[in-house]
Amino acid sequence: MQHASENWWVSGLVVLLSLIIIGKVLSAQRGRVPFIRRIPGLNAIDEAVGRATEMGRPVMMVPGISGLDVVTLQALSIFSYVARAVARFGNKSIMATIDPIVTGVAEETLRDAYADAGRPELFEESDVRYLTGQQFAFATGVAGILIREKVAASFLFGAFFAESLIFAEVGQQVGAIQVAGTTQTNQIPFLIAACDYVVIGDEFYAASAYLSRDPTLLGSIVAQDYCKLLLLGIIFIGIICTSLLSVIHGGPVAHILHELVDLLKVK
Amino acid sequence: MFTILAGLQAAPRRSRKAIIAFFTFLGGLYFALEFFYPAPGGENFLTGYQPLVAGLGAVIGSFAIGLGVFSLVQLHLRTLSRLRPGWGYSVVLLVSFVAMTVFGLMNEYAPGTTIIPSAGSLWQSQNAHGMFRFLFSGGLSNLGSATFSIIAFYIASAAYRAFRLRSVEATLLMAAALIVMVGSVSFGTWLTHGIHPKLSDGSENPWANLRIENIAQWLLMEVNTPAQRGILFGLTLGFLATALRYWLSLERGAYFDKEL
Repeated sequence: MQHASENWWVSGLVVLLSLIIIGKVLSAQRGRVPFIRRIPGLNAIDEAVGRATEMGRPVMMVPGISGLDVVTLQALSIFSYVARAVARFGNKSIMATIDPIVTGVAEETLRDAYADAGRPELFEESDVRYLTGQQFAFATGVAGILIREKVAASFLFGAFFAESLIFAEVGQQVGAIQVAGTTQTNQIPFLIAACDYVVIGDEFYAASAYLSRDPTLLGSIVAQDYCKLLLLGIIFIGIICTSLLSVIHGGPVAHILHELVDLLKVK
Repeated sequence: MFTILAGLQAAPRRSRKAIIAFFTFLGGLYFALEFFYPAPGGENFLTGYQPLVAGLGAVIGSFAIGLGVFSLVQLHLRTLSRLRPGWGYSVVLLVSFVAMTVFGLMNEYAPGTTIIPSAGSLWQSQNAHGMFRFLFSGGLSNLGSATFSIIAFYIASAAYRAFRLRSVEATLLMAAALIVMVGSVSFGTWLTHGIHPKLSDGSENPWANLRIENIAQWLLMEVNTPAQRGILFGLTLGFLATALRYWLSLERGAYFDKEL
């Protein structure tokens, strides 16, 4: 396992970033609620759910294929909002899961969402389906549900791997409107090619803040932007130092630049 | 764990949130302490407990597998009993489930048990190990590979829809995709094979940078990779912020504001 003692400067940076995030969250909780920009993919959620209700067809949600981790919890947080919208419209939703622990959490999430929307009677336990623990068997199962249930809106949020294109293409074939978001950068091109709306990069983590407008989450998103600025500044300093080292050879200035570059270098 | 759950049920509603927050913090504290505590030689006094902590997670996961299997079987038995549309698939699932369970257990505990006796020259006998291999390696693995191979066709259909010359950006995307695809196959290498990598004096030919496979490599290493790294910066910070919110129970929402 890695330890902080391997590089105390990087560990200190992680602590600094964490303090910025916690500070902004606490500040937002005390009333200083920041503004975040519009995210098109998330505006489409209500549109997609409304379209599915008009067509009389269900909504499908897939929270990725990883276990109960931060990414999946974030996906379930987004699906809580989607489920509330589905319940408000009086429509049916189906969630397919690959992990039994996620199944239990997902059931509670959907049940609470339907209850919040005042339609607890619409929720059925069979709406959350544990299919299998195998990646491609799960892909086949989801494809089968998309085709048999004639899903009209499909939401793919979470950690996806090679099977993401199977979900997206089959959804495309049945004519579903698809909104996707993943933390796997190498799956983003496939989702962009096959889905109608894609939430890219840290917009995935901003989604729950954007949908709920909760001060804690909004503060966290703004803190992330400050952290990105700090990291950009460090990268910029590294670029300047490395560029100067190519022209300054020897002497105390070169020594200082060398020390700075060694400090900033990824080991 | 049962003690914690029992205590949670017995505790007054007002204090349940604090109890959950405390145990959540405690659970994450091990990893934070193990990371930050000095570790000369790559280990500190907490590193040795890592297998135990991982094992605890596996035990909780194994409880959940039972729930998942029960939920799956219940759903399909209900479909079968009411002969709902698609009940045939439920039959296939239940038969496959029972077969894999039985032969999987037999493969573990009695692999030599004869399942199908020999019929002279017609067929050889099959034992439990052979049946398990037939179902797993012959069935499940090959079906998984077949499903994976469908992606090749889906990539073609997705690319056909996505690569349209609608705007300047779409044209650039199409051009880059074309160069990378052609540069990855022998036909592309043949197109620019006339540009020699070395000059007559043995030095590097600067014009070799225009060989299509080199342009493709440049696009992947100098354009695509930095873009992915930029996205990764944001994702990593998002992961850190979300993990901190869950660990310190700063989150207000689906898991913390409901009646406990």
